[in-house]
Amino acid sequence: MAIEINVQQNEVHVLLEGKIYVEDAAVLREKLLELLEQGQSRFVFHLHNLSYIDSSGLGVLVAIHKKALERNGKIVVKGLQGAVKELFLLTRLNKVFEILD
Amino acid sequence: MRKKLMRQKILRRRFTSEQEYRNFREGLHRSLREVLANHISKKGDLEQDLTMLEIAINEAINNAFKYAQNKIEPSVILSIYIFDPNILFIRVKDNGSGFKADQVLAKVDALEKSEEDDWEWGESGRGIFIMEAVMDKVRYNAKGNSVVLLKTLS
Repeated sequence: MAIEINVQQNEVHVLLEGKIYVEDAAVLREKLLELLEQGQSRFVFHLHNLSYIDSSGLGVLVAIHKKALERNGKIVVKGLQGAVKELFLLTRLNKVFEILD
Repeated sequence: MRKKLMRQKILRRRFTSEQEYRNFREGLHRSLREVLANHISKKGDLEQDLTMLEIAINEAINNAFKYAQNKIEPSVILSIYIFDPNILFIRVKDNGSGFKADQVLAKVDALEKSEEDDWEWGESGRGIFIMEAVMDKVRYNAKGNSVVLLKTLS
């Protein structure tokens, strides 16, 4: 698992690589909540190299999405592929987030 | 005479901490890969099938550790069998007092039928929904501390 975070012009770019298991989701949640507290509300997730995520990780994205919306922000998800894409479609999260290639 | 149903044990492991299960994940991955390679004949993406199966199992395991009320001495048992010829049987049982599985399942069913895009549910609901989508059958016991996942491999 790798979580790489870059803030560029009020946009938080989050690169997720490898496998995000339940314990990694907890780490991700902490990092993103900290950024929200610092006033960030626009998040771009880059998932091109993400090979595993489950409801614990998806739950983090949904929670951040809700908080971001309260602050007029948004979440963009890029690079959905393979099983991760299938999971987003199954859970209809592709209709919740803005999805880009 | 009725033919005896053949059962092949893939694995049966008891975990007393989440860390213990984490250490086992790679081994589980290898066992599941072998099962799928041996039982799935259709041409398709084995990696994707394998990941979806791992997700379904981890949802059950995560729930088990979450609801195992006996958090001081949690015990989660994962059993995987193949019933002849190609039914994958997975059971996850914990030593907790269970949860209201029937209520969560009813909510998941209602959401599935709704036309709304934005599904509002907790993490457990989403996890159970994923299990149901990946597997053919998901059955909790009445107490809610044991779940059986079934899938016909073809």
